[in-house]
Amino acid sequence: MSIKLTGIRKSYGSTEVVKGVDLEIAEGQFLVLLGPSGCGKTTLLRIVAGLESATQGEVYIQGQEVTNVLPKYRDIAMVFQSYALYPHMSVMQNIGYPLLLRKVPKEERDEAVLKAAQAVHLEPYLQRYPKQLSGGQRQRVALARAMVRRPKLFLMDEPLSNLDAQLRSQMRAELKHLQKKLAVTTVYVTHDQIEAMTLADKVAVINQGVVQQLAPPREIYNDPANLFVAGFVGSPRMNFIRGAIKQGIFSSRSCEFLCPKMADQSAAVLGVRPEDISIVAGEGQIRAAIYSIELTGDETIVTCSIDDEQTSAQIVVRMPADFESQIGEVVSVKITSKRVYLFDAQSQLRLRADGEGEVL
Amino acid sequence: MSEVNQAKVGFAQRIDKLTPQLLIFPTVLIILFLAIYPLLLSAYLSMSRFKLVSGGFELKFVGIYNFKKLFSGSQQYHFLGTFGELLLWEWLIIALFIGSFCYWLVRYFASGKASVIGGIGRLITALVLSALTLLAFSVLNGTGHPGSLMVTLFYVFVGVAIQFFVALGLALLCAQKIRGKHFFRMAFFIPIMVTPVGIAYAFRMLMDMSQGPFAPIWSMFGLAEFSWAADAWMARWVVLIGDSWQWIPFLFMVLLAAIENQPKEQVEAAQLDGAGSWRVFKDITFPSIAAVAATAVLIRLIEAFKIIDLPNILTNGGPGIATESMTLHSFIAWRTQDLGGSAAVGYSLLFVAVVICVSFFNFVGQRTVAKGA
Amino acid sequence: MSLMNKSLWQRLSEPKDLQSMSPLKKIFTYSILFVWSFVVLFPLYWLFVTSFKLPIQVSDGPFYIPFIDFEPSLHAWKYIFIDLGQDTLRPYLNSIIIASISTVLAVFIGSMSAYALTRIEYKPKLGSIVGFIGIVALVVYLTVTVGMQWQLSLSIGVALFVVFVLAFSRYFTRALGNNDILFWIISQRIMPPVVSVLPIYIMFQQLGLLDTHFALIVTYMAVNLPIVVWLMRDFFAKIPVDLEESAMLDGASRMRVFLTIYLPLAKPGLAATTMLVLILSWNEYLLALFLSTADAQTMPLMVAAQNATRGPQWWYMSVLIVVMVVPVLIAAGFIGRLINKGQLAGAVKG
Repeated sequence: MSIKLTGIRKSYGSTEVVKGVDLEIAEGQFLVLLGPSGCGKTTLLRIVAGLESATQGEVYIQGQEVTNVLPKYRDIAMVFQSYALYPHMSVMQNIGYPLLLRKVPKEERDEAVLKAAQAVHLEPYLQRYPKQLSGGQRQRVALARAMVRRPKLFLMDEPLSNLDAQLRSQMRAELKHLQKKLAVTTVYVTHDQIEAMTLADKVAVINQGVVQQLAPPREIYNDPANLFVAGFVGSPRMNFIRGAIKQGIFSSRSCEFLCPKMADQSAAVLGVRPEDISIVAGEGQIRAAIYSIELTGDETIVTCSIDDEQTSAQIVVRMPADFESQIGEVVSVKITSKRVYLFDAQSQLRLRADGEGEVL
Repeated sequence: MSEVNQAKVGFAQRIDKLTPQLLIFPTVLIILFLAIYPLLLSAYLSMSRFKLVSGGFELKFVGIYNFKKLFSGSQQYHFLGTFGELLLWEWLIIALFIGSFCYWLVRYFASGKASVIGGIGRLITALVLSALTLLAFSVLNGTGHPGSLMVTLFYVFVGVAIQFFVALGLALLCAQKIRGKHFFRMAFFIPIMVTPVGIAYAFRMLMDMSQGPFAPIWSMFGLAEFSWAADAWMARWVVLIGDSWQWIPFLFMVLLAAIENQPKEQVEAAQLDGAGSWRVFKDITFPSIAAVAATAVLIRLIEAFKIIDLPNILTNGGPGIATESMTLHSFIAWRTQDLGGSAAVGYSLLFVAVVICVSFFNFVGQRTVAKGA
Repeated sequence: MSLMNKSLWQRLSEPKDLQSMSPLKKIFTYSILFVWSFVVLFPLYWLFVTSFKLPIQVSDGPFYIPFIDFEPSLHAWKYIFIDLGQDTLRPYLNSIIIASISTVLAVFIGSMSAYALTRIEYKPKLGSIVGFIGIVALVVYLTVTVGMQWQLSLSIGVALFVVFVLAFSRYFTRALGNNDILFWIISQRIMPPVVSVLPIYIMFQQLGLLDTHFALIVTYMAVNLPIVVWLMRDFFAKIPVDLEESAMLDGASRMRVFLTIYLPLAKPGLAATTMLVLILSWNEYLLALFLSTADAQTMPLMVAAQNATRGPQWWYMSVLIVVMVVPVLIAAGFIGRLINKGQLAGAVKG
């Protein structure tokens, strides 16, 4: 079951929320649409579902155009953020509803419901009503209802966002397991990058109605296409320092960094992840003053202020748990990895030297 | 999907895509046939004279003759009333009222947000209210007698106001922590279930000065021989009381539900801040029920214009025409085969009701809804 | 002021804590509630008592308590139920048939439209509506003033309308929205029945349907539709859209969504609306007065008819009114239980 979107645009009145999206998902893949709230990812999902019609562009499911097909004929199951359980039906009736609509005979239906319930460990609750269930159990009912009729396509709209942290990581693992077992093509919308990284075969990072990058999670993390993707994925987020490139040297007020292969650029941004830099006793590339120190247990997150064109610019450094220092102390920060990214501050695009990802 | 499947889906989907129309069609059709069509026919009736001829009837187009009869002709006393002589101070009050309507209009047009439709609507509202003020003073000032128009407005405005405040008071009392809440709630709801015809007869019995249950009280005050049915204002008040008895329950139920839904935390926070009951009501309860209250009052306004059963049975419109509402006036005209006159009264009632209800909806209802949200 | 030494006034007027009432407030509250209970219940008591009185016991002045200051008699009940027999039963059955069928129809059709207006976007083109009104006016003009046969003018009108829509529809840009339709429907309730009843009377007379159940059922349904749409829309609007979208993805048609999701979830609202519409049609007097004379006569007319030439027959009326209130009370008991049941809990989130 493959899906293809071509040139999808969607406007509400004069505001355009989806601005020309092309996407392709291969059969059995798990695609995550990742982006901040209001970026158009949910709208895109609803266009795939047929709940919303695109202003422009086409939707293909398995090579067939379905742009004007009503949702009920698309054979799609969707898990909503709110779960959308029918409060007047028991768990059993809820899960069985899609089969009831397909006129599946009762015995067959009950069997399928039982199997779906088993898959998500719901057998003891079949006779209960949604309001008698906990958040996690409701989530499972919604999943079971989506699975029970073996749809061609799963759509999930932030299904885990109403759960507490512990339950969320548990459900994440279960979800991944189920999806691989059923091998159903899945489109999953979230603003949580951890969900995106852990679940996806492919991530589409979306911002302001445009797909910023479509790639496997590893690539998104290691090889971001632009400033937005670099900043959005990763926690703590990537550090950015504004400056300019001149004759193979990136320089700003507090930082100097050699990048011999790069062309000159009057306004550039240097990006480096917190784990790729370190506070050192000797010489470093960045001069900074310690702003705050947070011990998380296995490591220390150190926030430093740097002198930049922007006032109160900060960088974050991941240090070992035994790191100790004083607030206000001036330190030098050394870039310890080859993973340094340079961006054009105007176009926000990644600057590359002769097709290489490396800049040193 | 195979070819066959696709064709099947195509057909089923075409039907599905028609559902939105099918859902709304019955209502639109029924309203077109049983409201809009009669409305148009009635407009025609109001401009014609009805005559029974052998084997049927005959309609003769007479233009605005029927309306002329109501507003300035032989039926003027019946419809508008008998005008009294206005005194200087009455003129001054009328001028004050009309002046304030004008000020309201001018302020709207000066606000810079005026639109054509909004302007026309406000102009009509101001004109109708001014005319009704003038009429009210001329027929109610002692030397005049109100016609069915003013009597209807009396039932509507005085009646709805009394019903609203009594219902609000009862609802506030009932919303407290009291015992027997269930009993009071059920009991207070009962009057709405009694047919208005029944209420009219029940009140005739109750208000009987010599045989009714309160006869001993009346005779104690030497009123046994007094006949309220012969006194115009007493008769109107009795009709009003019967109507209120029936309709207070409706407002009571709606307001009680709204009060019980008000945000509890806000009330408690205000109480902790030292607010007394009146302040709690003014600052929290009332704003939170205002939207519901406005809707309930609007429903009551709409229904109040249609009053007929009570005056028809309680007083038969009497003494004279003193308690006749416009609907009853129209009905009486129909009974005397004056179909054109009957339709003209009906149409005038429709006009007044629409102007007042729509004005209320736009200028009071919308504002409270906006504030509540 | 010491907390221990409260004056008598303070003890009476201040509550013990925030949750309870002060003694004075309690006295005030209960006395008003009991006075109003008396106001509400006494007329009904009086009707009930009067139904057991002989004419002489009514005219000789007030008697209050049966067995104590007058000897109750069943003569009025016997007259209504045995002597009149069929003549009582018929209007009673008429009322039951007309009120219940018209209520069910109004609630169902009205809910359907209310659901559609809450969840589906309609955009009737202003141009088409203006065209429609213009063509209706033309048809009326041709029939009434020019004197054309109505079949002919109507077909001309229909043909013109089809041509008009086909030719011009793509030039219409201004459209009305759901709120306009809703306002149009609700505003029909403002129309006093006395305006529409004459034409409806003539219409049913031409069709030969005067004094039939059908005429009254259809009229009551039309009169109550706006109220149903108005009330049900608010109840439907509270149901989360997710439920509907989920059901549609699961393969349900809109009609199915309406029947299996919306109607069950709006049960409290449906109950309240049904109750109100049932009461309105059960007690309706004016329309029945115009549209029924004998066969389809309803109970309010029968009550009114007891005001005979010999003067009002209080005892018979009382019996009829009491008999009319009983089924409404029973229905209210059944329906009232549904009103308070919250159904939406657990629909969304935790």
